[in-house]
Amino acid sequence: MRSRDTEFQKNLKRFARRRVVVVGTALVLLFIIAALAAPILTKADPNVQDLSELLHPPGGGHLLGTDELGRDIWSRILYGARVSLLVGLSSVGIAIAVGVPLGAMAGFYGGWIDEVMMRALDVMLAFPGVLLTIVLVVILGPSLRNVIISVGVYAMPNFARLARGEALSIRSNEYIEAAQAVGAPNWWIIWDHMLPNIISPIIIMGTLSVGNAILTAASMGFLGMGAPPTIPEWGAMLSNGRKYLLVAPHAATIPGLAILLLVLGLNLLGDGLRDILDPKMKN
Amino acid sequence: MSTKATRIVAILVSLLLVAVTVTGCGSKPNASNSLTYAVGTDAKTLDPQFVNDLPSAVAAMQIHETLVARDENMNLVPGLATEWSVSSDGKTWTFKLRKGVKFHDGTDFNADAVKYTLDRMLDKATASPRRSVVSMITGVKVVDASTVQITTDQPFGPFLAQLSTYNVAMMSPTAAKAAGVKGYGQKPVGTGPFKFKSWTPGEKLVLERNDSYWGTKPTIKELTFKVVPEDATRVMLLKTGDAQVVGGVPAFQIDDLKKDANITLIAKPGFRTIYVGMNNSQKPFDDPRVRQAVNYAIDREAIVKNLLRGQATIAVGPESTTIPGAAKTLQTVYTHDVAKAKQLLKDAGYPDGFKTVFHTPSGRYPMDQQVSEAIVGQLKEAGIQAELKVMDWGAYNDMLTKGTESRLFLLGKGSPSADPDMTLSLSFGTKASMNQAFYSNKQVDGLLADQRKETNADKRAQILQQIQDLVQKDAAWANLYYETITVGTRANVKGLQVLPNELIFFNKVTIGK
Amino acid sequence: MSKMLLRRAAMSIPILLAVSVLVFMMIHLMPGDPARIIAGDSATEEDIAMVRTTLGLDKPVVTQYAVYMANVFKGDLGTSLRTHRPVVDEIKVRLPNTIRLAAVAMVLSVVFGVAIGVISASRPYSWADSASMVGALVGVSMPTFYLGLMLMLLFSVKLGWVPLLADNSLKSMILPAVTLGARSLALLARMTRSSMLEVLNQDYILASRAQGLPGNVILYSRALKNSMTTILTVAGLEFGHLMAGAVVTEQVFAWPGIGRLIVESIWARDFPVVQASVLIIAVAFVLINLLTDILYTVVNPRVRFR
Repeated sequence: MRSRDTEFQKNLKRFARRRVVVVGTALVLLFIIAALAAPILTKADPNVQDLSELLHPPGGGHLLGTDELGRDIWSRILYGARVSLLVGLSSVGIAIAVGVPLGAMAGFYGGWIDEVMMRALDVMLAFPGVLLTIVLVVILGPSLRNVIISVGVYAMPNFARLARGEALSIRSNEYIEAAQAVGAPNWWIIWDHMLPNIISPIIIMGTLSVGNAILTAASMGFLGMGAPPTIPEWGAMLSNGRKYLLVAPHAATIPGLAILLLVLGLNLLGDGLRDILDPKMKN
Repeated sequence: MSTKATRIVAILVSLLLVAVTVTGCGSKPNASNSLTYAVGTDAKTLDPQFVNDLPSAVAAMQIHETLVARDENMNLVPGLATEWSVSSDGKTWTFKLRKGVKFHDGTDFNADAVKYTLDRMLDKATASPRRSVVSMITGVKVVDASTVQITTDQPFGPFLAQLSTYNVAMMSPTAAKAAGVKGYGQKPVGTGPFKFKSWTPGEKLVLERNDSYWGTKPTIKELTFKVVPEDATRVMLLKTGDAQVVGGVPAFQIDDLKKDANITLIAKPGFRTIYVGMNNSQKPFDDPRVRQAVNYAIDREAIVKNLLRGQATIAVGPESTTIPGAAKTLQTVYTHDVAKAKQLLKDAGYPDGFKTVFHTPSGRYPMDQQVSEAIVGQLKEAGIQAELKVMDWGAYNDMLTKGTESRLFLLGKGSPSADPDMTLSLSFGTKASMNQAFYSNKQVDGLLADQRKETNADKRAQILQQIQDLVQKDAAWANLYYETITVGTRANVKGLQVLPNELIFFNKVTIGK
Repeated sequence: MSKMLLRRAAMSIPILLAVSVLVFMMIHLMPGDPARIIAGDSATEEDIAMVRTTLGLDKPVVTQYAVYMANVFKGDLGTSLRTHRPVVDEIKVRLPNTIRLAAVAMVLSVVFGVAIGVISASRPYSWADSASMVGALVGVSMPTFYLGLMLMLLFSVKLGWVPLLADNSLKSMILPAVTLGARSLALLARMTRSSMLEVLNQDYILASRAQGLPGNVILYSRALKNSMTTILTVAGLEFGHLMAGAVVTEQVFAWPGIGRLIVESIWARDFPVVQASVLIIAVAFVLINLLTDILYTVVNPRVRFR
């Protein structure tokens, strides 16, 4: 008991010592607070238009100015944090929920199951970058839900590979054979023996993937395939604002900065977690 | 940093420089007799018979010309035909052709060329997507080298207007035969003031002066259409002088550009109507009172004044008042009146309003998505809760044609023939291809057929007026505004012709110091 | 070894076939009627029907796929529905632009990424190291289009240093290449640093240090050479991503590459062009990965004996 405590304390200390990790955590927390406390932090409805107050620069009645329809950018940024976090977390959630069991199955059973699944992943990965996401969103139709699904599908192969690798390495373990011998079902064996090994890499990859997912979703918004305009999505805000880059640069700059800071925070956090949780990286 | 590290960095940087030199350097040509026109969208084809979008039309019409042309006020004027007459039964048209005109490849422009061009378009094997523009033609007869006779299946009122559309521009039979139906679009040969030089799709189209042009010879030697999709970038190019002419200037840039002494803005009331379509075949929009309520709920003035910075004219009806023969005023006028809208909704059985969907394209028309967003906000005040959905053009088009999901939607319509017939028929005729509102009125259908057969211009105008009044009263659409065409030029560019149908002509342009 | 590579090369054929089927299926699942889009705004129903028949769009999807693939094996990628140009011509114009942009971006990111990584690794946890690594993280976190717009605003509009438009000059390629390459640069810097540090901590480095070789020589020759495998792998994989990532960058800079062609063609439901361009990118991607594997074994002979 004692030793585990010190291990935890050691981790915590290591965590706190790395200033970048603290900064990352602070950034992510800041956006989580912004998302949760949006109604307290702003009185303005993110969707209320004021056609007489278009593209007002920051200051005055609007902390961060207004957009091309006279909507308050500050409140759209706050409510937008909800959208970005929702998109990031749920698409990665989908990727994990689908990718990990598939990968684990492939790795554990091997043989043709493994072959079929890995080749299927190869086919998916042969659609490089955002292309797959673009095509999926066009097929499913542009909506927040479909963006989440498409981004999730895009992120899925990474988790499947991770789980497969882990499953492969435990398959040959003696205690697995022992467990099988006493009649434990395979899914239980996978769950019980793989989970402890896989949980830290998933947390690390998950944190980093949330950032990536947010970037991909924002790219979709930028290409005009994202959430409907009434949802304050940062990528779409930036995309709409870029038309006014010359006359009202704030309309594009502010949402872009928001994306950058949130993703940076997630990456700093993910990096820090890797240093702490991944034993291979420990020096 | 240690010296070794510095050395490695130095090696790497020099590697970079080498690589970069290998990829090559270019230079920017900038002669004063060349002009760069920055456009948002590249042309798709330069074959007039396959053109069905504006960017292609503008490019193709620098190279080609029509028998009947339009002046800047959209009056029909002689083009490649100098005079024309119609037989007493209204079915046979005789055109006298301009003499001494040659195509860019040296082929003579004559009656054979006219016959070839029209026959090619009529030939179903050509598969022109705009065959309907000439489908009333039953025969083209060469009388002599400079006289041609065209017969139609029945008297066709707007015939000259049809012949003035870009689709019926004359092409060199020699070149067209050599290139084949698929090839001509990349190797166009016409009689126009500019001839085709080169085309890098998605990047630029280069035209050069036709030194043997029959009309006013251009002073510009080289005309480049440069494709620049980003609105802001196009404006920047104009500011830096990298482009001399820029199309589709966004409304928000106008105040800023007006302050710039190096830039001139040309604003011309255009033909394009932007409207809110309503699916007349679906509840609750099958009730004219609901459609009228939508009309009253929209504050067109706020949209035009604030959102579009005055770069539009509030609509009186479906056809822009600048189109020759379109109604200037209509009996029914819809002004912003929320109380009236609510009353109408109550009468129709929706005292608390209703929920519906509003579909919009994004980037198809200037500010389209923003206008839709504003309208959704305005409809809310009258109790109509519309959920806004953005769709890409392909899916949007499909959804509107099927008509099961569509309720409210934003659309625009131009007027390729500059005559109300074409778009009124296509938009309001029962089951016509542009009738995404699923509007159907037997009286309108009858009148649409009548005006086509009417060759007396005044009588035809009366029927057209009647159609527009009926459609407006039925509130098939909520017409919003007519777009203003805004073209920005460097101040030293003079003589640019901008037509209300969004065509632009460069042959009279001079570039000063 | 070569057997494994052959197997991998052979494996890419069914993968690419599967990709072609998938692309074809997905394209036909997209809502939208190409005939209607191609016929344009003021077309009559009759016009639209004619376009549909001419383009063979009235046939069943399976037939269309069979016809398409048969033509592909004959070397005919079909004709663009939108422009009537042969698809090969469309791609011939656009692909080199994308490759050129990706190549310059690649060179930029390898040169600067490795340089930054080496500097960082040579002074771990120093001020320069922290600054580089935070900078690299910013690079990874930056939305491509945001970086592009900001660079454009600063260097083209405010300072006027580089032209706004691609005119094939090197100068005009700088901003798009930096935008496209930023992410790879950052990744490479991080990879170089961590793999060099890893190597530096290995026993044999300590051993050779003990043998009395000067520290710097060890650091830069051995560590960098040993890190080359990682760098190569990452760089190879990144090149594929660069070509695909160009979709967004090309949009921002109006770069006439294949990424923009794909997006435009998706909007226009120009199926043959989407089909061929996505396939070509997929082929390039698979080939680059294969090449990376080959290079990997060449640079790192130890792999052969595994």
